[in-house]
Amino acid sequence: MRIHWKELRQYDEKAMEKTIAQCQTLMKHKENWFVSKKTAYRQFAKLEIKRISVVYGFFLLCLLYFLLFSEQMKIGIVLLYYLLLGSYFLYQLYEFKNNDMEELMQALPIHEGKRFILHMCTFLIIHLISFLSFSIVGYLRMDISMLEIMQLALIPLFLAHGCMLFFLNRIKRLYTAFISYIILFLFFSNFFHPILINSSALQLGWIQTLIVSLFSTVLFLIAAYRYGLKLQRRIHYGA
Amino acid sequence: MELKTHHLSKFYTKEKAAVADVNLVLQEGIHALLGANGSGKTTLMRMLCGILKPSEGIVTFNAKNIMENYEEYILHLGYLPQNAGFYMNFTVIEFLQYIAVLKCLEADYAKRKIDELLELLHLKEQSKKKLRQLSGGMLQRVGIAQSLLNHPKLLILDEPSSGLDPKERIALRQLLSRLAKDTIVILSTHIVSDIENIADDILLMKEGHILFQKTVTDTLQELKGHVYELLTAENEREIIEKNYTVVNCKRVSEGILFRLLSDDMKDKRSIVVEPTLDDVYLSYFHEEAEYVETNLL
Repeated sequence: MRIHWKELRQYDEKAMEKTIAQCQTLMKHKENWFVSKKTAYRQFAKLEIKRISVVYGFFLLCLLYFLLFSEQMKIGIVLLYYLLLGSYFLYQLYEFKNNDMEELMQALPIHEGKRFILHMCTFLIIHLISFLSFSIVGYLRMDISMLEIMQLALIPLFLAHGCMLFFLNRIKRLYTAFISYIILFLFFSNFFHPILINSSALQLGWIQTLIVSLFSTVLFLIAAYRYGLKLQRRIHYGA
Repeated sequence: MELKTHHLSKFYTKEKAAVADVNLVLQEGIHALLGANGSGKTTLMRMLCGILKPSEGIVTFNAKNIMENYEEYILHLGYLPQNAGFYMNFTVIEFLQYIAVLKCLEADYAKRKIDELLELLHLKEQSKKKLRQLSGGMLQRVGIAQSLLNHPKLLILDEPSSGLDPKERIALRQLLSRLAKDTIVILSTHIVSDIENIADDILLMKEGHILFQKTVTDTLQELKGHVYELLTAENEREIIEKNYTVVNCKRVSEGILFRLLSDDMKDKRSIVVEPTLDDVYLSYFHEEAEYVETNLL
């Protein structure tokens, strides 16, 4: 059989196209190990939540105990609960801050900023669950003082955390951060409600308490946004 | 693939540049960044990773500015910082899985790759140990493993061999040689012997400047005829040390055997020897010789 050179060229081109297509498929396959950022973030969230769920689960169990078995909701118990919840959140922030991983993390697609957002969200959700549960139980028990207690407990938690987030970069050690946080928490608690014997405190009315608790929430969110923004900036421009 | 820097500079203070006007073109292969401590290697590497903003200049990868295309660029980057930290409560395998997720890797691929890397870096037995239980060398290998998880197109390793024993160093060299076929590997070191046999080219850095970018052969060629060995008596030591750059001296039964660098050797007893990278390094950094870790000193 005789093949004209033009036909041969045609065969050649076809073969070439086929080879290129095969190469492209191979290349595509080779680089197909990346998932979208959305999927990766979901995987990451799953991994992180699995890691912290034991402790937050314990908090929720404590909450259940208070709600179901505790006859009286004392301000001290609620404050202690929030103090521990806040301490764990602080520990989460420091666990990743103090191990020289920052430089490595900056060169990864999912970075510190995202992790901070995740931890913020988890913390806020747990807090919201606690707040709503305490409030609903207070309402069902027709115990208005419980709603006041909830608002009062919220103030030191958010104010102390707001202050901590403003100065987090300057405090190097977890130990120092813990002590500062506990002092701030106790100070704000005592400032708005006398938790220490013979201490003077602002005795706020219901509306005033609500306003202060809203203010402290806003302050906390601003501090968190500012801290998150700092992390985000550092990711692209170095520490 | 091509990584380019265009007039890259970094000033931490107004007076002195940590990196000054660096222009590089790097393609697939191993590029060794050699320099004394404080010469600007780490700063340059951080800028190449995009985690440090240059004071002047830009970095391009395949003709695209990395900062404008950072999301894509970072997917193909493997980076091992100097003195990298770890989450010490994690086991080796947990840590690698964690980093794999942060690198946006598909779960099946990550699992396969982690197994492969654990095997390659001899970490299989330690895979279930907590990181805090590992030695410095093992941690360094975990660091190398995490940098390779995403099969990077650009691999930047800042002093990867620090803390590794000689056997591990050899294994690392073999691994890097294998990777260099389709990866741009930039590795900084002040351990000359690590790069002598594997680097495609050497970038010598001093006080923020790249003094040269040459192949190992060209670099050695330049010093040919300037390296000598001289056997002298013990009492001549001071004179020799005063007149020449001493690379190495070894006490032997007949006296002291010096390895010297000289442009103008007058001593007839000397014999010309083949230069090594240690000699090249010392010819540029002899004033900082006490900081140099070579296989001769």
